Amino acid sequence: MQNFLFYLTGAIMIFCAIRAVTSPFIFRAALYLAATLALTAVQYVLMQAEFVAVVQLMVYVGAVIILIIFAVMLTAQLGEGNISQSNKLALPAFLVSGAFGFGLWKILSDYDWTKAVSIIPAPAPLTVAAAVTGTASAVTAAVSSTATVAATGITSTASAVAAATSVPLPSIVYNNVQSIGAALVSDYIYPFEIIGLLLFTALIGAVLIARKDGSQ
Amino acid sequence: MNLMSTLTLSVILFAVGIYGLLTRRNAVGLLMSTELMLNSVNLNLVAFNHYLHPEALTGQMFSLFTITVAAAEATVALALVVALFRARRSIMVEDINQLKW
Repeated sequence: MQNFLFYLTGAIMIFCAIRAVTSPFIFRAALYLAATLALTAVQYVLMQAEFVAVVQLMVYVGAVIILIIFAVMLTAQLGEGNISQSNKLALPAFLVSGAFGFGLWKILSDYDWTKAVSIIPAPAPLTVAAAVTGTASAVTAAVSSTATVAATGITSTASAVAAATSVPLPSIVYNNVQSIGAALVSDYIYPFEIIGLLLFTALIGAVLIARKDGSQ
Repeated sequence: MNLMSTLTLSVILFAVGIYGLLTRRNAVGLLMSTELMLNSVNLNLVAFNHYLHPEALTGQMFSLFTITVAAAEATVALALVVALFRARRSIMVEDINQLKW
């Protein structure tokens, strides 16, 4: 079922994306883009990233597409279909994007992704059911073995500290939204603040650029 | 449905975005192609998070920040488009040649 949904939404996404960049009407292209972005939210749900899916729907489909449609409406000449929306570079652009896409796909498919799993250190224990039944010596042995596998001093000391202060975690199963909320105000607090500043700056900049000259 | 199929979908979407970026004359169309490419990168990040390291939240965090940056970028770019249309009565990119000598 998940496989079927993945391939179905993937095929529709590719079709809508191609229509979004080739449609002669810019308004229809915006609607096709909206369909692509909404189906991306389906992909996120399939990959168990529910919060990202909801944010995708609200921010992309709800805000960015509305902004684009507003811009299409405000620039009145675009509503008509008699103006060509594409230049004459279709074949070279197809060759360039095809070559780029194929090269990228080749690189990605040649890489051994099982290697990438093993080199990532263990995550912060939000959902880890850590060592409730094991004895302390068994935990230490497991930590040292993983440390030798990882073969880096930093992760070994970090794991040792984590093992030394292994207070038994409460057996709450955090869901996606709770985990993201906790991470936003702990590990990612500086990017969170900076992104707020960026949004504020973009708001002021947009108002300043788009207003009429005479209206001080 | 595994990591490579999601990456393939993402690569196709990115290539389609590049095609749109190279062929559109309209500034709004260029912006839409850019959004498509950013979206495919987000798909990539969530896929890496889900298939390679499902306990971590790093990929989802990155894609949330990318979505926010894309929204800010769209706001400023569309303000530029509106200001440009007011000044030149056209937003076709080949008409914007004031700086061309």
